[in-house]
Amino acid sequence: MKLSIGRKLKMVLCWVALPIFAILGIFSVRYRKLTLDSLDCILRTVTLRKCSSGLDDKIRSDVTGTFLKFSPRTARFFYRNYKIISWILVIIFLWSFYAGSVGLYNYAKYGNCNGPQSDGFCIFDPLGQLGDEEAESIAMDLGVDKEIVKGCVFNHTSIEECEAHCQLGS
Amino acid sequence: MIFGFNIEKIRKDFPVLEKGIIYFDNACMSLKPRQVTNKVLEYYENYPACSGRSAHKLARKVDMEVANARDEVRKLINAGSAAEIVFTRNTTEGINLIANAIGLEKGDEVIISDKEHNSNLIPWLKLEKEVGINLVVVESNEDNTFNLDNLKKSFGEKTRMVSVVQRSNLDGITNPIKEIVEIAHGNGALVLVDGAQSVPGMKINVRDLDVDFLAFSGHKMCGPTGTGVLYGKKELLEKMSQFIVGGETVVDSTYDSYKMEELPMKFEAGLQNYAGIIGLGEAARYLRKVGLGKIGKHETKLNKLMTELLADEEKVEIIGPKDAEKRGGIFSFNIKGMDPHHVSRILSTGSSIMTRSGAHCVHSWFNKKKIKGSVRASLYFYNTEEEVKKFVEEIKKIVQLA
Repeated sequence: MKLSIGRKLKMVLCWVALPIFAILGIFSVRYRKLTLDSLDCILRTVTLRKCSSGLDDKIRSDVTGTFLKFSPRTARFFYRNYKIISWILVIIFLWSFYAGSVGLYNYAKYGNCNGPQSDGFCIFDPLGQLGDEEAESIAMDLGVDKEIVKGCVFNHTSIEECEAHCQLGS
Repeated sequence: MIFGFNIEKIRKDFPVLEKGIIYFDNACMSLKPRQVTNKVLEYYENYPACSGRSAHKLARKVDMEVANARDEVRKLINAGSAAEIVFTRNTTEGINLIANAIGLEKGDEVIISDKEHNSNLIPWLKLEKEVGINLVVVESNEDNTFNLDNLKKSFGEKTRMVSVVQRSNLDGITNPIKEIVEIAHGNGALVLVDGAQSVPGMKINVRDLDVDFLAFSGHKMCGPTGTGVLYGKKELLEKMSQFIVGGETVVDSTYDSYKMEELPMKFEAGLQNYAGIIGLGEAARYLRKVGLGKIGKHETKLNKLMTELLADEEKVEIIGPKDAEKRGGIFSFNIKGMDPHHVSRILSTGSSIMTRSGAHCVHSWFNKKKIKGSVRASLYFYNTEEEVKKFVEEIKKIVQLA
């Protein structure tokens, strides 16, 4: 069966569905089937074939049906703009995947997901602990032991506070 | 009291209806009343034994219950003898039994209509491929009704069988079986009727219709799943060879021969689905109690209401005649610009209305017409006017999505 480019591109939601269903599939058999459907859909999409599981159609219909209960206008908007909404979700998914990967890399390298010398919130390090490399660099600047810096950051809210604390000789 | 029977009382027999669902997928599978499920449970709890083999009292009870069930089914279709009632798993098995045991040979012709369910198409196509029979397809009229003139023109010298559906699961049209039988018999052919949709909602009198065989399923007529019936005229069933053989189909055997059982056991191989058969008997009794004539009228009345309420919706395209009287309890339709599967899922998710979508196992017809499929709302005696109105309301909302 010949498919239009639009039809092929419409199946993008499988990309978002796969990781979600894969995680849910750990706990429920129902999602394992959906995970396989998503995977099959992705494999077919990348080879420019029709997604035979109909997963996109199922998601589109089920979400439309749910909206229809509360707001027919929202349901109509979703049903008619499904393709663009799918693409927005895929872009958000890819962007968050990229941002997550960068954060993970930063955390592994610098002990902070926001990069070196940053004290912003890090999901991988909610208590604000420092990685070895960054702690060593701060310790060298302050002329104290690395472990003191790490312990200090753990007890204080920011690196600036910690620096001030260390400089006071605590 | 609506349409001559107490629908509120009837609905109390179906526990699933208390869950807030609207069930319009009756052509696929009917709901089961408590009387049937209780009867199935009764077998498992009180006499879960073999029938026709052991001599103990539990087995004798099963013998009696199975015999009662056979008689209930006989009464449902007004067959002459219980020996003419063969229990099967479903309509498909009944048709396969006939196709394989009637003794068709190379060059023999079988006539079917162009709206047959795969169950009444594939067995013949298989024989065409493997045995070399010729399959002749009779084209319907423009409005999907049966064309008797086309049937008359289809007979050849070697036509052995006419196998047609009585009520189509595609559009609900009832074929003129009596006329078809007269024409077929006049041409020396036997008639096998697929009664999967007709038996659950029509008064059937096999002796009056003079059909040679009638196959139908239990699960569409309030019976358990995995149950079905093949009716056949005794003299024909006796002449037929066996299909599946083994336990229960023989009275004696040696290493090089066996003596065939009598009817109907010669066609009921192996240990049977006794719980299902007993439940099926109860379902037949239940339907006769409700009244098959009343069931048919109720279905048609609801279908007329549905058709009238959606008549103004230009995007709703009905499959089959516009006149609901001709479509029994089936309202098969498409919404212009929408995939039938989408419509069906939206109905289910949005308002718990169960319908079927797709080709309804009549792929051949849809392929010929180049239509992807349809949404099918199929009504039964426990459905109400309120449910129809709710369905129409939801369809009107869905039409706006397209």
